[in-house]
Amino acid sequence: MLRLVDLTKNYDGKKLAVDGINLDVSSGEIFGFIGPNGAGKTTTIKMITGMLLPTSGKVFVDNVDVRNRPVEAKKRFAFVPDHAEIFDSISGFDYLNFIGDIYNVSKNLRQKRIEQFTVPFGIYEDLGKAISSFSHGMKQKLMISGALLSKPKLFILDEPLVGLDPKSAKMLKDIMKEHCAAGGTVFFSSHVLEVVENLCDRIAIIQDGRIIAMGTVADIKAQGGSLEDIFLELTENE
Amino acid sequence: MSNVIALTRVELKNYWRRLIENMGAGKRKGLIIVALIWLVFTFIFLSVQLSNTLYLSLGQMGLSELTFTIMYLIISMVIMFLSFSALINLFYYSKNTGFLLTLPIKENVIILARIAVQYVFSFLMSTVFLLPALIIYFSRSGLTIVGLLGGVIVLLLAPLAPLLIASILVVLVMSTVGRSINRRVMSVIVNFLVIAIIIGLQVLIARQSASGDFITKLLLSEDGLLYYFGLRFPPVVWATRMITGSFLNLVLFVGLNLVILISVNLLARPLVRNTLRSFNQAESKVIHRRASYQGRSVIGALVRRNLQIVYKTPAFLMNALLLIILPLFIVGINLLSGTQSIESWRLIIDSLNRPEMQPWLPLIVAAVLISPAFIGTFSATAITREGKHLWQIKTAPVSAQVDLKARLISCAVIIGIGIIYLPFVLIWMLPVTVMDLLWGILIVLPTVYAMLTIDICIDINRPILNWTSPTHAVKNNLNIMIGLAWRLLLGFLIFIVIRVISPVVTTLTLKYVLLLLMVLIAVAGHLLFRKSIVKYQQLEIK
Ligand SMILES: Nc1ncnc2c1ncn2[C@@H]1O[C@H](COP(=O)(O)OP(=O)(O)O)[C@@H](O)[C@H]1O
Ligand SMILES: [Mg+2]
Repeated sequence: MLRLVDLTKNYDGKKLAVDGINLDVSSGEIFGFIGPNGAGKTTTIKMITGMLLPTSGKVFVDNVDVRNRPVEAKKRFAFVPDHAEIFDSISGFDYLNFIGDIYNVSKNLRQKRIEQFTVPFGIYEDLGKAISSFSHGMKQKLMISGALLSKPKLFILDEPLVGLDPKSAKMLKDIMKEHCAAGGTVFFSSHVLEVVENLCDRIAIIQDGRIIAMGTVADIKAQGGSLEDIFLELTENE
Repeated sequence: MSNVIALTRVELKNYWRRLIENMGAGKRKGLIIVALIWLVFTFIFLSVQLSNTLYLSLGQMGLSELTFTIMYLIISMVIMFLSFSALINLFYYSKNTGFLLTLPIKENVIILARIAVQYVFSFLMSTVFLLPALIIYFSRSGLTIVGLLGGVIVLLLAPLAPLLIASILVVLVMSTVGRSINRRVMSVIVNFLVIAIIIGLQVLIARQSASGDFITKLLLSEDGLLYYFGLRFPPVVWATRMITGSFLNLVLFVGLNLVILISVNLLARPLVRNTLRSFNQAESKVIHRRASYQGRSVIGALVRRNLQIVYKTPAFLMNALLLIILPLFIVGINLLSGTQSIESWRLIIDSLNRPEMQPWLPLIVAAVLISPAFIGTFSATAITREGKHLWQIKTAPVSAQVDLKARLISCAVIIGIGIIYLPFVLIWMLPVTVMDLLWGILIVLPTVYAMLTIDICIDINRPILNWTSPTHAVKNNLNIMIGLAWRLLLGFLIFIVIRVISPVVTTLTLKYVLLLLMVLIAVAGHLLFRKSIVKYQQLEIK
């Protein structure tokens, strides 16, 4: 579903932020992209979503090259960034309708899905208000609801659990699982290790722009010790 | 105090860094710096010219020190009005206010730092205009020690009084009326009020100076003119006397500025605390309509979003409204500025109504219709207006072409509103025929298209996405300057063409030549636009 081939990013020819990443996320997987701050997670995700151009290497979403056929590729994924910078003078409904228009979601589906996601998140009642009055967590929930509006094949999230309360975090994890159960794929980044244990099918650990370990949580565990130790060890030794 | 200075330094550094960033890199940066220096020198040249003229004519009446007075007055007024809208934005609409409020500093420190930022800009501006006036006055009328000291003091303190008056007004207005109205509406109303006041003053001055006995009355007593101004703005009298070497007035002037400083610091504290915070929460009150699920085409949704960004952001809305009504405003100012200008307008319109002007009417129609697009470089910020939100469009399944088309259409809609009523004004004032109108429109269409496309290409090549206040996006934006610069070149080109060929050809041929020229420029704009789509596709959001 998502394939990265020798993906490299060199900011302004000075800062090698991502250094030849190869990975292959299969359909139906929840894939965790784990690494400490500054490891290159956001940079990688920005290249996947077309916000940055790779210095070299390729990105395929559902076998569509993001660089050559951007619109086709972008139809296949939805993205929630780590910051909540959206145009916030409009109402929540306006925002969701805009997404619905852009992704060509029919009116009936739109109504059904908006209720499906925003009611459990507890923001449905606030959708008539200007987004600028939302808290950070509410904005993030709105963006997640918007991203899921088009039932994307691939759901990409950058540090999605930052800023969510435990209840909402649990809800988001359930949403990720449901998304995969329904045939979708999830790719998300995190700098916190504990979230991946009973959530991810596979994880990749990235440090200084390189993948230093990849596999199921059990695989990596089998290499010895708790995941935490491995994580610390992996990130310290390199 | 050290907090204020530190914060001011940070804000200025921020501003400077952004300015440098926005200039681009390499050769382009050099060119722009040269252009900026040229601009500053033009202003200095203008102010030297003005001071010189004033000195000569006032010197004949034996009132040469009024050279300084008049320059001082003009610059004080300009600073006051510019600061008024700038401070509203700095105080209430700056996005980093929320962050600053979380820091362990007092609210009035934030306000004082913002005033200090505005002071630095005002100081640079007033120096450009006052220094030449002072030098001209001193070099010809002689220099005393007190006068020199006064000169230095006046340069340093000149921005203070208007700046502080403006900030008191801002806080008063915003804390009384400002809270009951939607802040977007508020900002627009305030901006229009400022414009209305400027026009009102101009009308008043023009009317009064038009009647002859007003001037003789002013000049009857030696200090007449001075007192006339002084009654309205006491520091002016003191400042003038200070320049001519009066120590008493120097003390008065400095004292007054100190008093203003202290009283503002005291007054602002309680007022500011309420307004800064309440305005940060103000928008939670905005309730929109309930659930609605209407569908739009992709391009329709994008156009709507672009128009929403303009409509819902005060600074952008102001820009759009100004461009829509500016042609009317200019006419209005002139009509209101007293009998003389009504007369001159009638003369102009009468002369246009004469039969021998008839062949020129299509070109006049074209010139009038083009004016909103000429002054409004609105598509030069088509991408910049998105700012930090551009990622949303960038990651959505929308091709660069469709996205840019939507931006072009939304700019065309706004410019179109500015143009659409002008034919009716023309029909009302001039004997234009249907053919004249058609010719005018025929020439205007490719011209507007060229302006829209070329401006958007400028923005594609140098969008500013990291602004924190919308004012940064539209006011201190070099794209707009570049847009205006190429328009001036175009205007010059057209002028040359008309000058060179109008004596040798009929006006019909001239029309065809102009039409051809405009179509060529539109084609050039179109090709440039096509090329820029690729560039836009490769735009990175770092
Ligand atoms: N716009 C940029 N220009 C230059 N360097 C950058 C830029 N953005 C990020 N970096 C650098 O690239 C590295 C990876 O950053 P990032 O991808 O944001 O890490 P993560 O998301 O894993 O915390 C960091 O060292 C960061 O300093
Ligand atoms: Mg990150």
